[in-house]
Amino acid sequence: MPSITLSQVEKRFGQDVAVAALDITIAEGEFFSLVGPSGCGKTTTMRMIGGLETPTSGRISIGDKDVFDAEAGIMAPPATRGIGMVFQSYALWPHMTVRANVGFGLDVRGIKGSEATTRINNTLEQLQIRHLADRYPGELSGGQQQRVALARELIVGAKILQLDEPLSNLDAKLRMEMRIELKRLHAESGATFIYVTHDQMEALTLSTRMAVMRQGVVQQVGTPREIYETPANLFVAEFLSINRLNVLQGVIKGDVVQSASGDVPFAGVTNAQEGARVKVGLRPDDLRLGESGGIPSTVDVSFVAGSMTLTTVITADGNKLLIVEPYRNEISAGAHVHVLCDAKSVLLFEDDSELRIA
Amino acid sequence: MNQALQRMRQRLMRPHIIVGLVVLVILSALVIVPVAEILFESFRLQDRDVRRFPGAEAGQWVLFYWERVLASSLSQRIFYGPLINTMIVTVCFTFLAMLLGVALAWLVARTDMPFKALISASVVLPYILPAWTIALAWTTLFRTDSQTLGAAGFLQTMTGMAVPDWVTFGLFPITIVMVINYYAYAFLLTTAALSSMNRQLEEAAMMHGASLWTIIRRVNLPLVLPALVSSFVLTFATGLGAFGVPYLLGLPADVQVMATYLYTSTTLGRYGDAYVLTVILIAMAGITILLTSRLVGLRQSFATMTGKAGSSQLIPLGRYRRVIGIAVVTAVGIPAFLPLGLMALQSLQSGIGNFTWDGFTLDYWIGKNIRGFDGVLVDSRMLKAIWNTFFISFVVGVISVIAAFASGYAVAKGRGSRMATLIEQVAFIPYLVPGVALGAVFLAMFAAPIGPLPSLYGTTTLLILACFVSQLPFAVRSGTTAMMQIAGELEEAGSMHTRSWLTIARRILIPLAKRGLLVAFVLTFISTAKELNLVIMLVTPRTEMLSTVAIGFMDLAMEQFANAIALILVAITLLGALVAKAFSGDRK
Repeated sequence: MPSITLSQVEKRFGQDVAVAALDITIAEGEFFSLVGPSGCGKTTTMRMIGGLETPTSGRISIGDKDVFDAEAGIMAPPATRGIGMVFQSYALWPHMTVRANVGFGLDVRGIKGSEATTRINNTLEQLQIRHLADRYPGELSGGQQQRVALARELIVGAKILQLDEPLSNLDAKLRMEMRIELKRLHAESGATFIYVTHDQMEALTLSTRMAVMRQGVVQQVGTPREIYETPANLFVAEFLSINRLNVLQGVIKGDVVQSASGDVPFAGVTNAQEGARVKVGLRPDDLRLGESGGIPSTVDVSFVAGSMTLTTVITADGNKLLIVEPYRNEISAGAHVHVLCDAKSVLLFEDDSELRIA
Repeated sequence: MNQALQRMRQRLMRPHIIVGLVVLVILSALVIVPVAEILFESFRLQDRDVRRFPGAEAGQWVLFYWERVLASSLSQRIFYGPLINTMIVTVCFTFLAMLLGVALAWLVARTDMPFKALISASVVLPYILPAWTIALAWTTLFRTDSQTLGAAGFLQTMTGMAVPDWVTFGLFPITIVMVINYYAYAFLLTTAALSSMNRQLEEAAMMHGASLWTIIRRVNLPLVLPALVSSFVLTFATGLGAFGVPYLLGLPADVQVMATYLYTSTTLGRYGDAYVLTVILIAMAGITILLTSRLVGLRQSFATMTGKAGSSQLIPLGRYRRVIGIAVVTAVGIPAFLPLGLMALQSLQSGIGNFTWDGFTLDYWIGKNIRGFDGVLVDSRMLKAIWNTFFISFVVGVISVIAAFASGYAVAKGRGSRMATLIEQVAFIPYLVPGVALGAVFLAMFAAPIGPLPSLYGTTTLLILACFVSQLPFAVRSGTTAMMQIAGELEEAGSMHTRSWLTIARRILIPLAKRGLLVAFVLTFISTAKELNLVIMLVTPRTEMLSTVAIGFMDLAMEQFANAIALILVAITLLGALVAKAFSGDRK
């Protein structure tokens, strides 16, 4: 059944490379996210899989069938690929009722009458929008439109469902609700989900595997845990960091990095040379404030955000660091503190290539 | 090689490429080829002039016509005289129409003047009517018993006052009547720009301490500039090509403009001269528009830069508010509504201009055998003209809608591609070609058989083709607007379910574009029904339309008939306009 393979897929618009030599394999039943900042090529990649965009070169296969092959001149039309697609704008047809929108796929496949009615009702039921069946899209809220768009694709039993930033038009609370809903639908339907988002939290919480993209190039593919804990490079580390990643420059001396702000210990296998220049990545939630040792600093601002306390400090050489700790009392500005970190949580990157070395 | 072919095939097989190519081929055949043809023809010896050159053959290359038009003893009469008159009318008319239109737009959009709805209606009404109807009413009102027909007009019969001759016929009335007809261009475009302008833009300037004048100059003006440029181009091009008004108000005083002289030369059988004049007229319109857009550096992005109007604060006119309102209503109301009354009155009078109680008659509507004609509602030739008008306008409306849908789809889908730009540009060309000139182009092109095609001269097919081409700029633009919102994710969502583009078109695209297309149908229908400039070049007794019959009656000095027909046309166009308004309103 359908695994999706992209080999050396490339898309150029004139001189601009939107997606460069992409190699990805998505296994059956995965919840696979394409994530990256806007303009990184994630939506283009999804549209190429769906057949809405013709790649400039490369090959795409779904299951054992080639749906695109630049060499052989194969380009299967979207409707033959067995893919459902939820668009960012939902693309609900405004002149059709919810029932007609959801039933469209059945209708054009020649499924009509009572079978169609039953299937429509079941799908509407599954998405809890049965009571909206005779409304027009213009009369629905954003969340309801979202459910209709999902129903329209799920009803035809698509084995692959592509979702393009589906939650970006919803408010924060609804977004949380729909995340849970999507996870449930993924489990219930057994379909392969391909999910495009620029929101790293969404990708980290929903995906079974994900690909981080930047300027058309895949930076890293893996499970959320792998990528979060062992980012391939500084860009991935910064992009996935839930709070802004602290970055310092320094030089390796024994088992510490000497930086102008202070010494930072590190651990793990490393092929770094003594004296090599590196960048140090410190996740705010891995840092703690203490009385001595670590990096001496002055408190800039400190405030409580629910169960967390966020503090920014300024180091001796003027660097600003963010520290996120479990709740503690606020510290007054100007107080002298020491920023402590655990050697195992420190990320080290080569200075030029920004590839991670530890 | 095979792969390259495969890839090429794939690129070409996408629906919007196929549709676009078909549209481009048809557009080229109907627009580019005829315009090129007339340029060639102006350099070729016409049949009837062969005997002037011993030993010459028809179709031979000659500069004869260009010489006769530009540098011969006849040039003054054929070209320079009409050219000067055309320039005087066009410049004065454009200036006055812009001034009035913009001033009224500002009053309506930005002040608290009363009676706004009535004022807007009064400005738009003359624009909806066939252009020559106001000219007809003008002669009915101002003619004196010392002029051609020896009959007094309404004003003289009522008051005994005879206006000077230059008020009735000549450059002055042509200019004034054209202003009444077309100041709606500047008014409508500027009103739209002013009322969609984001109030916050002005407020931001105000917060920085800008004066009212600075705000107008630095904020408002740059934002309405695209509207001003568009209305200037439309107004100016209309002036260059004006035919009906100068025909009715200029010829009696022996004042010719280029469009009327172009028509005269075809009635004299001097086709070579007509082709030369056509080429010059097209070039003049084209150069003006190019220069304007170059000078102003038209940037289209401005046009779309609108925002929520917000609770726009209106500028208070103070205690003169009512006085200004009443003055403006009177000033725009009289030229809008008085002509209709005059036309009705004249069509019900037995004598021209002889307005008496005894003179009232229904003969011209339903009578029998008045100087050889029956009343307009019973005469068989008239009924034929009514049928022709409806039939031609209906077919043109239908074809225009198909063209609007197809080209709109190709342009909207291929946004920014070379093909989309090309379609838009070719479709814009008929704008540059004044109606009479377009008529001449089609006359030159289709009078003789082309290959397997028979000669189309004297057929309704020719009229339909020509009217369709003149509607193209509007059709393509409205089609593009309608399709822009649809061709995109809504279509792609359909393509995930079915391979058949026709199913997607039938089930999704057409239903969504329906309203826009319906409005386009009604508008092309009425604009064809009232067309005169173009069809007067192409009609034959068998294919007469209402407007040409009316003009024919003017030539026969049977103005009652002309007025009755004008009223029928007014009824058709007003009805159409109301239908269009009803459809374009209340969108979901």
